[in-house]
Parts: sequence; structure tokens; C-alpha cells
Amino acid sequence: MKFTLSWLNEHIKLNKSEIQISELLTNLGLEVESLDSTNENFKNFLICKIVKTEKHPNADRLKVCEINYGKENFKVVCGASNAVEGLKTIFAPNGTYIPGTNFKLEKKSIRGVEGDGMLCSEKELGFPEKIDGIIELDNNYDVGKTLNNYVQNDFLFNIGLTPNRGDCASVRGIARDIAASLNLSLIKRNINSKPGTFKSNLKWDLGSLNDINDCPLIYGRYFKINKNLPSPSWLQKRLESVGLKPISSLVDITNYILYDIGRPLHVFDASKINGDLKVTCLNNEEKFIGLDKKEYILSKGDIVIKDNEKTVSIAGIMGGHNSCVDENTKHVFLEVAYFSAHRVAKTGRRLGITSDARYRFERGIDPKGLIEGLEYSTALINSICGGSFSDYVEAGNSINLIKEIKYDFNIFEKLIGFPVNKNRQKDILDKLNFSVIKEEKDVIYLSPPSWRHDISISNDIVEEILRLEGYDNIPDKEIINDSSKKNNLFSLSKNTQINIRESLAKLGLLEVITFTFISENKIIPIGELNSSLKLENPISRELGIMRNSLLPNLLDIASRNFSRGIETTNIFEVGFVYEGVGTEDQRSNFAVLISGNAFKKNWHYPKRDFDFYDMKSLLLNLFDELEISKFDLVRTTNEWFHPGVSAELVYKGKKILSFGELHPSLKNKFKIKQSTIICEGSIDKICEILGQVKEEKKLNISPLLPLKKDFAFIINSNISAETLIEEIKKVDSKIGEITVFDVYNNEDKSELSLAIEVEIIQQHKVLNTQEIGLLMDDIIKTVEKKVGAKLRTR
Amino acid sequence: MEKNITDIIKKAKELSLNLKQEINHIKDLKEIDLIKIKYTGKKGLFTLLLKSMADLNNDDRAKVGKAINIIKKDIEKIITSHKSLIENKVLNESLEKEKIDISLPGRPVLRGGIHPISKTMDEIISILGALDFNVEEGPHIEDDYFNFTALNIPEDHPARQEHDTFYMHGCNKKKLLRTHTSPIQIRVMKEKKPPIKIIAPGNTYRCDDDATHSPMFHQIEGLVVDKNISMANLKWTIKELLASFFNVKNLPMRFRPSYFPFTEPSAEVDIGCEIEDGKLILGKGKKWLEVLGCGMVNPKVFKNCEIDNNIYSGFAFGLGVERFAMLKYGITDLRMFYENDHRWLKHYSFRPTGFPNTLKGT
Repeated sequence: MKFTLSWLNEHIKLNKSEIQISELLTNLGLEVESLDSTNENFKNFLICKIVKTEKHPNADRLKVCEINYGKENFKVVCGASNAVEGLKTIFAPNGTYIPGTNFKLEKKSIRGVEGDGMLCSEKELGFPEKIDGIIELDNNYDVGKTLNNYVQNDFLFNIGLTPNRGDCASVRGIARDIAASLNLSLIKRNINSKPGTFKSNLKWDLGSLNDINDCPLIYGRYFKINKNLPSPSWLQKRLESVGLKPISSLVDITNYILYDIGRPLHVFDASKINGDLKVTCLNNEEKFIGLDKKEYILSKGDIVIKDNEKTVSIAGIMGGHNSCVDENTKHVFLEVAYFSAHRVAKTGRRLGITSDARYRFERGIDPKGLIEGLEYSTALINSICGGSFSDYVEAGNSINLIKEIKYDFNIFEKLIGFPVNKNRQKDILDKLNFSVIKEEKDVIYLSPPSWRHDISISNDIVEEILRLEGYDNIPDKEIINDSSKKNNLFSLSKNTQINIRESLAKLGLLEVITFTFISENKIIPIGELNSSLKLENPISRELGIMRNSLLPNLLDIASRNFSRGIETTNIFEVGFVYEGVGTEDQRSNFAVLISGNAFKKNWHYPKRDFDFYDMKSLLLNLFDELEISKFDLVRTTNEWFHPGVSAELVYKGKKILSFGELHPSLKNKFKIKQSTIICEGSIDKICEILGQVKEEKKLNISPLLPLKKDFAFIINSNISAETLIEEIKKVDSKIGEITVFDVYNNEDKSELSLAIEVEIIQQHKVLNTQEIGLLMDDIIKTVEKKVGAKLRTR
Repeated sequence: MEKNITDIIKKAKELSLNLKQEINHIKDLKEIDLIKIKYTGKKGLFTLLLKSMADLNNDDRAKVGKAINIIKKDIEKIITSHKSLIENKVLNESLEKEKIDISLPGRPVLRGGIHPISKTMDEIISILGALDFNVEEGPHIEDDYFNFTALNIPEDHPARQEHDTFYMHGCNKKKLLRTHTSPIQIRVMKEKKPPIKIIAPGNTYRCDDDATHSPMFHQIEGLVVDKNISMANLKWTIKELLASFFNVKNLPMRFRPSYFPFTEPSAEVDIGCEIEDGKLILGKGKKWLEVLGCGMVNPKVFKNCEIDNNIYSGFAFGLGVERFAMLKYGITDLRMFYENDHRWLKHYSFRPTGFPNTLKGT
């Protein structure tokens, strides 16, 4: 809601600065989002005199002028024929914002001559255009001064109106709130009090409305006017001051009254109307061309105004092109109606029309303001357009909106935390135009003013009192806690999410946060998308469906990084994926991606790419931090991964996560060239494990030195290293850690040589050579028997 | 006889003097050993001198012996200390040779980090956690009822237009992406009995995509319901939160009337700030910056959740995590939070230091 200080002053006399008013409004809940001086920009325009003109060296129609601005002279290229020596005019230096044409003047050369700025026309300054060419100033203007000294200043307020305050969608509404706050009275508008001189040729008919609440009351008046010319300059300036475009007297008057007192009106060209007008509810879909000349499809249930043959207006939203007033209009029919907020909101939202009338109707207008709107507009139309007017016509019944709200004065302190005595509360409510219906001891029965549709319960009344009393007066009081009822800060799930995030970051990965909607094309497995997860109205197709995996976004980041020359991508996300639209279908996951160089180029060791084992140790470290052990790694058939270079981690038969090299066929899809290892796991499943009772670990420290013995075994490639290790572990309880320190394949990769170090823990006594020999023989024999491994002989 | 005694002592002193002179020229350990032999070895000069005492009578021998022994000890001391001097020198010379270029880079280490949104959420959660709030979460794909209707935003309410809502396909606008974290209020109130003291952090969505709006963003919701909860309690809580989060003592704060359908009275909270050389400075100056919305739970919402508003009252607040992060960490472009540009992440991410602890003030 925009208005100027001078406009506000027509409604209320204020002895306050614009800053004070702005603070007052914000404290009343009418937040001033911006406050601008209307001639601020004119400070940049300089009054100057042309002292010399020369023909432009490269253009016949242009002149190069030397101008004087007091102590300084400027050079400017100008094409206006009235730019002659001795002319006093207005100069805008480079960098100035030109309001009339809405652009910022940049330094540039015009046909090879670079000027310091430009000489301005009336149009360029946003003034009414009276002459061709640049502005000609008379002796009232002094060279060396700036233009703002000659333009009357005003202040433009822009209020961010909250949806409940429809009553303040007018200058008077705002003045009314200020009046209540400062205990001032409003200045009344002059309205018509004369009766009409003839009977209206048109009447209203509400008979076909099923629900009279859709339009309980409507007035009309017929005008025979002399002319519908452009409106007088005071009116044009008023509208322009709040950013409205003047159109014609009749339209400008309705817009003016809408902004001035918040009363929407509509004018029809009566000669374009056939028969009486009825307000009715549409039974069928139909097309409608609005005042804006756009076509709208109206639906069943929309409230419209029809004459005998056509729809002439969408009630409370927009008039029709077929009945609009124009410069030839001589017969006018004025509509002053009360339409249902709910109907206007519904139709307006569906059609996507954001008109000033709709804005006010759907927030609720003052049901008692119809006659005022009628007579106010009558006075203005009659004085501006001339002619005569009829008696008014009406249909419907007076609107009875009396609400009775029971209010207990004690509730204020209870809810807000500081006392305001009863009389002060009553006084505030009185200033806000609440009427008292009944009063008991501490309880009062109130009726809110007719323009306040938003007030219906005690809490609303508390807010009204608090608004005027000042939110600054609210004290701050600590909440007294019942410390016996302390709960955990987090659920297990949230706690695990945070732990995993911390651990992964400690392991050298950067956390990313990405949108939870992705492109349908990136749903893997291909073709298995759940269409209920699609958005009806996505920002773009790229963000069209709720994700089933965290991986696509991570891959996109890796691809983008690589194209930006970043050779190492080490990222993770802890986020949500969706299996369906139900509350239970939202899953907490985490994903890791490592791609490109495992470390940056350095002089210690050669460059290499990330591989499967980098990811494996990352994940084992993570599980170590989570204190989860006793899981198995098995091969996976997940579509995301290279089938030979991937695994899943299984705990008690449940799959917790899978990881491995990105499947080569997906590399193209995600535009990835470099080696990329990915992992995605379920935090929900990790939580299940964490929820179980942990096994106690035993600490066993032997005072004796452990022995270390090396072996090299040749095994069949189909047998995993782990099988071998597990078998050795079973040989004797004295066997401790087993470390693989060398692996190589034979040429045809049928056999594998594994070099391992076996730790032998000497628990109670030092082993002698014979005992050690026996144990080693045992190991060799066992692996030969169990996994067919042979000791490699040198 | 007397003469002989003095001669021997004199000789010994001479020897000692010679040694001192000689030893100063010695540079390596081998020579020091030679000197040692020369003076104190079996056939050394000093040993010979001692042997010459054999001619003396017992009395004299005792006299001379005492004096000579002092000198001998002195000599030995000189030799040992000079030896260790040389040893040190030799060691230092060899260490000098082992010198490396300390300016050469060490082995590369990958550096991880926590996203500023997570960090900001954690900080807020930990501040409120210390005030006994518990964390609750809810679904991102919400029912129209929880997101709007139950929060006193009926279908034709103008407030709905301020929420550019994403709807789920084929669900007849009944399922949507939650436009705020407030539906969690409803879920919690329907499930639990007061006293309730929760915060609900999480993703929120609005169908808006420009320089200052992201279609997905994050909010944190707070809700307290109990007997005798007043707006003064709300103000205290918000003050604690803001002062602690922005780490500014006596942070200027302004409550001003506003409107949310689910709270009544409602307020928006501004903090004082100033722009100096294009940089935002919180806590001083005359400008006000909006940081959050709040209010007393609307009795209509209580009614929807079957909580008796004659017994209970409550307050709620909601804040934008991105905005808090931007203000605290000087991040200027909202959209970069989701770009995940490597350079941006490296710059704005936080070292993992464990969940923030209000006692530590981090």
C-alpha cells in the first residue's frame, strides 16, 4: 500500500516529521517498507545555460553545446532544435537516473563526441509534455542551482500490509489508525447530499442469486455526463504519486476513491448495456474479455454481473471490455457493491487476476461504507464530468455484521505478561471505535468497528490493546522450567544424522546441501519412477520430482567441479529421500562421493585417482566411529555401481549401505569422465542397529611382546582374501591381528599371491621355537586344507 | 730436598699450563685422545712426574701428592670438558648436514567441512537446547490440513497467496511440500500433552526462484505450550536466542505488531544494525533488520489440536536459517548455499568440532 504524506494530510492533521510518522506506523503494525523523498532524485539535475553551440562534426542534426552551471562548464551533445545559445534548461550529468524514461544515463560517445551528460525534455523528467525539445526555463530559475529546489517535495510511504488489515488498504484507513493512536480526529470528505434529477434507466437485480451472502447489498446511479476527458491535473498527480496511470476522468475517479477511502467502485458505459443488470452465479463455463483486453475462462460458481445478453463484469475483480467507459461515453452507470470476500478470493485466485478491487474485497471492505462511496463518487463525477445524475437505485438488504465478543480484562496480563488497567483498556478500545454492548464486572461484550473483519476473539482484542499500548512495553520474563522433566535433545535419528555428518567431515569430506527435487531423468533405476512424487508445478523439469537417492545431485556437483578444473571432489550429504508421499515414506540417508585425484599433485608420492579401497577405508572408519562392528561386505547388484568393483555392507542380514565405482554406463548420463566412487547408506537402518544393546568389549593387555610372522600364500582368484584371513584366525586363540601387506596377480589373473603378517599374542608365557614352529605349521596346513592356498616358496 | 718438592709442583703446574695451551688448538676427537695419552697415559708426562715422587720421603710424598692430585684432577677435567666440546661440535656439524628445506610442502591431507546451513542450525539448536527445548521433525511432503487448515489458514485466506506452494502430482492439491515448519506444531500438539517445549528444524519449500528466494530453504520453528505462558516469556526466549546466536551484548531488539494466522497477537522481531563501508554491523546503529516472526498461539489452533485454551497458553516462533547464516557469517548471495561450488564450500564450511556447545560459546 503506497501513499504520500500530502495525501495523508488531507485526512489527518499531523505535526510530525515523516520519520516520526514512519516509526509510528511500524509500531502500529503497518510496517513501512520504504520511505522516499519524491524529489530526492531531482538533486542530480542542474539548472544551466547554453553558452555556445557548434554543429556536430559527424552528424548534421546534432549540436555540441557548451553549457554553464555556475562555476563549471560542461560539454553535451544534443539534437533538440530549441537548444540555442542563451537558453536556460536542465542538465543531467552522466550517471543520473532519468525517471521519465526509466534508465540510468551512462557515459557514451555519440557519433565520436563524448559528452558529460544530457539536456532533458519534460518527458524525460516525468513532467507533463508541453513543448517539443528540451525544457525551456524562465527567470524564476537560477543557473547553478539544482532542480529539487523548484519541485515541491513530498514523501512516499510504502506499507507492507499484512493480510488481516484490509481496512488499511486506503489512505483513510491508515489515517484512522494514526488517529486512534494519537487521539486525533479525521478530516471528513465532501460528499454529495443532493437527490438525483431523474430516475435511473438501469436497475439492479439480485433475484437470481442462490446465496444472498454472495452480494447482500448493491447500489447504482445513472449519470448523463458532458465529457470523459483526461482528468484534472490534481487528480492525475495524486494517482501518479502512488504509481497509478491516469486513464480518463471516470476511471481515475474510481481509482482515486479506492485508494482514498478503500471503496472499490465500477463504472459501466450505460449505452453498451442492454437491459437491467443482475448479479448472478455462473452455471456454465464461459469466456470473458477483461478491461485489460485479456481473455479469461470463467467457471461455474463465479459471481458475475450480466445484462440481458452478456457478462459485463466479474464481480469485485474486473469489469468487461464490452461495457467499459471511453472518451465518447456520455451515459454512465455506477456500481457500488458488497461482494463476498470468499467468492472474490476464489475466482480471483483461479484466474490469477490481481486487481486493486480484488485485493480489497477479499480482505473485506467496510459494509457501512457503500453510501459514502456512492455519494463521494457522485460529487466527484458531477464536478469533473458535468451533466446530471439520477436518484440512486439499490437492491439487497443492509448488512448486519454485528459480532459480539466477550472480553475479560484480566486476559491481557495473563497473555502478555504486564498489567494494563481496565480503564486504559476501555479507552484504547473506544479510540479504535469498538462499541460496548454490555458490561459486567471484569467482562465486557464488544462489537468491533465495521471495517475490522479480522477481529473475532479475545486474543484479537488483546492485540489491539497491545498495539496501541506499544509492543516495546512487553517485559521479558524467564520461563520457569520443571527440571524434573528433562528429555533428550534429539531423537536417535537426528543424533545419528549429526554424528555421521561430523564423522564424515572429520574424514576429510565436505558437506553439501542440495535440493530434494531432481530431474526425472536422473531417477535410477531408469523407468522405476514413482509418479506420485512428481510436483504439479515445479520450478523447472530439472526440479520436477522428489528424489529417491542422494546420488544424482552429488554426481552433478562432481561433473560441474571437473568442468571448472577442480580435480578432486570429496563430498557428502546427509539428507532425505522419498519412497512415496506418506509420512512414513521419508527416509534419512547419507551419501559420499569421491572423484578424480585422491590427493593433489605432490613431491612425496605419485598422483593417483580415488579408488574402491579409499571409499572402503572411509566407511570402515565411519563405522568405527559409530561403534558398529560385526558386519559383512558382500557383492552388490545395485544399478548404480560397477558390478565388479562394488559392495554392500550387511548387518545381521540387513543391507545398510552400498558403495563402489560408478557404473560406466552412468558416467555419460552424468557427464563424468574421471574415476568416481560413490556410496549411499540408510541412516534409518543404522539407527536400528544403534538402538540395539551393544556387546561389551573386553580389554586384554598382555605384558609380553607379541611375535610377528610373515607368510606368502598363493590362492585361487575366486577366493577372497578375507576367507583366508578368517581361516587363519580360527587356527589358534593366540592369533591376533592379520595384516595384508602385498597383493599381486599372476599373468592370467587366475591366481593371487597374498603376503600377510600374522601377529601371535603371547598371553601367559614366552613361546619357544618349537611351539612357534608348530603354530606356523598349523596355519599353513589349515589354509591348504580349507581354502586350497599354497605357501609360496622362494 | 725442599727444592725437589717445589720443583715437582712447579713442573706439574708447568705441565698443566702446557696442556691448556696445547688443547686449545685441538679440533678432533683423535687428537684429544693423543693428548690424553701424552699427559695422563701410562707413560704420560704427568704419570712420569708422579713416578718421580718415588724418591721422596713419606712426609714429602704426602705433601706433594696432595698438591699434584689437585692439579691432576684439573688436567683430567680440562681434557673431558674439551672432549665433550668437540663431540658437540662434531654432532652439530653432522646435524647441519641433515638440514632439510622446511618450506617444502608436507603430504597432502583432505580437509572436510560442515555446510554453513548445518552449522547455523546446530548453533540455534544448541542455544535452545540449553533452554530445555527438544528437537522434533516432520514430513516434507505434508497434508494441506497440517500446512494450512489446522494453522487457521483456510483455503481462501489471503495469507495462502503469500505461500507459493508446490503441490504433489495427482493428489488434488491435498499433498504439498510444506511451505513452513509450522505444521510440526500441529503434529506435536496433536500427539503430545502440554507442557510442550520444542523446536523443529528442517527443509521448507516455496515455488519461488530468484536472487533472494530459493525454492528450497530451511526454517526453525519453536513452540512452547504450558500453563501461564505469556508474551513476556516469548520475548525473553527470543532475546536469549538472538543475543547468544549473534554473540552481541545488549543487542538492540524491536518487537513490532505483525500478522500470522496461527498466532494472535503476532509480532515480527527486528535487530539493530548499521552498514559501515558496505559491511553489515549488528548490534549498533539506527537501522532495523527483520529476523523472525512470532506470537501467542491462536486459540483457533489450540482448538484444532484439542488443547484447552482456558488452561493452557503458548507461543511460537519461526526463523529462516539461511538469513541467520547470512547475517552471522557475512554470506551475501542466498543462492550459493545450494550451488555447492567447491571454492565457496571450502571458504564457508566449518571445521568439524563436534556439536556446538553453548557453554563453550561456539
